[in-house]
Amino acid sequence: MRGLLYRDMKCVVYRTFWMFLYFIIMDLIVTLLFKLANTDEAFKIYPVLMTGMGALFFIMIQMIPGEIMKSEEKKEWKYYLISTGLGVEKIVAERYLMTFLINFATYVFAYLLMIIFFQLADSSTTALIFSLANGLYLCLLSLSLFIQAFEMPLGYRFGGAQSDKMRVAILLLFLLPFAVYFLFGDIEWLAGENGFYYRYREYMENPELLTSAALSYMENISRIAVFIFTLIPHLLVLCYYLSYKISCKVYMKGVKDNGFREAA
Amino acid sequence: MDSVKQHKLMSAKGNAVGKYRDLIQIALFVAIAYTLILVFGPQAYSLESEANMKMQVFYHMAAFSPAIACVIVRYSFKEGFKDDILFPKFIGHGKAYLFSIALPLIFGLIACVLVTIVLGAGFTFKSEGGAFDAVLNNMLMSVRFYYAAFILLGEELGWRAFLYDKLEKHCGLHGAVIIGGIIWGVWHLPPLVCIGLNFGMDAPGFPVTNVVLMCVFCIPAGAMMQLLRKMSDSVIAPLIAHAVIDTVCNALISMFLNEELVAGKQFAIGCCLVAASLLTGIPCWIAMVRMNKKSLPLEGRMASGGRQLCADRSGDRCQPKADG
Repeated sequence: MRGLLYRDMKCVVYRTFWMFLYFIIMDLIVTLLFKLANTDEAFKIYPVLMTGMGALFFIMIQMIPGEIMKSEEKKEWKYYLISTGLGVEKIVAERYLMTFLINFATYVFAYLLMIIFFQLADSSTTALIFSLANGLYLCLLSLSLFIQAFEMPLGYRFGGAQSDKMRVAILLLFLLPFAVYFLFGDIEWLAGENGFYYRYREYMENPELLTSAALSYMENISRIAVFIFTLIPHLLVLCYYLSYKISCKVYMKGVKDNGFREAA
Repeated sequence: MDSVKQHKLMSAKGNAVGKYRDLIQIALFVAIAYTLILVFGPQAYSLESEANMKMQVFYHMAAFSPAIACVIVRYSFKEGFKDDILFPKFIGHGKAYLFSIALPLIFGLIACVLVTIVLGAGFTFKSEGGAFDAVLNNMLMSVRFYYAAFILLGEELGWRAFLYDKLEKHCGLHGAVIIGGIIWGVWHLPPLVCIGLNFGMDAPGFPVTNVVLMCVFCIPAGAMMQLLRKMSDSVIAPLIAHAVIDTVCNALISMFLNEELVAGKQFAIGCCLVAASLLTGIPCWIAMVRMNKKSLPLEGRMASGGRQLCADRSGDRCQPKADG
């Protein structure tokens, strides 16, 4: 299993390294620019901008697990893996472990970058804004793990290309109700006079408003909503486990079918 | 005969070198872990400074000091992470993972019962907002479990994945549990002194009493964790147990014990925790001794084909000896 992990790391090490380096440089440039500007107004926007950049990094790193999946698309590699005697469960478990490690490393990296650059900029970031940014990263981590849990069984069963198509179809189905709502529903809360779109600019200019808004939202949130929120991490773990079990079941079928498809 | 003597002499020399190497490793590990916790700990656990990002960094550095020490020592001695103990080996180790949740829960329940007996604190279900609020509070604590598991990985990587194994090689099982427990206990010095962890700051003989009691607490608790580590052949099982103790057990105590009667009696509660640790940890210690006795010695394993599983994989890694 350690060997498989090593192989997967070797496959993506350069791409991941350059991606990490790119974000360090980008963060450094932004921080330097803000340092040069050195105005209070600029530093008020700084934490929001840096958090946004971290979120972007999170989104970009999502392509890495897919890259690994596609790198072993060749049927010979899959047959070889089975012949090693590791067993389907271990082969699949390694991929799930690797996916988790990539996502978790991204979270830790984004978190560390946030701490380092906030300190470098010496911005007066409050603990609450820092916690909100950390919360956003945790949400992104959960979401990306959920998407991966959904995608991996499809990838094992139908191959990388087929699973891409299915993923897009499912994503469209998932987004359709939202699209209908935003086109025809009441979106006063978003684009109205006191809607989020206009308040957002205020938040950017004055982060303390964001702090107070977040606090009032937390106070008014219902207990049932908190209960549902606390269920999410447990459900995510359950989802990940179920996804692993499904992947184990469909692995061999996927190898055979995709092998024939490639041969044809 | 000369060649046999020469071989014996060589192997004796090799053992002596290996022994000194391990002792240097242990000393270096302890020195790095203690330096980091003593540098970052007081600032991380300072009550005076307000919570900010710097404090978070210090806290994480302090919490991860055993893991950092382990990584530095392993790499500087070119040992690497060959042991595979970082992988959660769920398949075939279900019992160990079940124990990793059951044992801390037993510990928590014993602590609750002891606090009730000693303080008369009232072992009743309490919640102002009814049962739903109690469930909600516990759900919030259960979410904290994941964060606790992440933070405690820093400790378990150092203690269970390195120190205890190295100590067991040289001091035997009992020595490893006692010395490891003392090292682990003293490592808690900054939180013990700065925030009065577990025993409060108004304990008689503070802070010496707190440190001594923490060591007494850590010895059987270490035995419990080490048993889980041996049963599962992975650090994930003790990690789960440690996280359950830090989150679910705290939730149990806060849910069942009457706050008014317990308030201001942190030292007594701490002593009850020590007693609960002894009551849970000593049977684990005994179980570990029996487990070690059951497993055949290395020579026996080799003689019987060399493919038997080692019950105790902490020491020698069943490496086949060269013929002759």
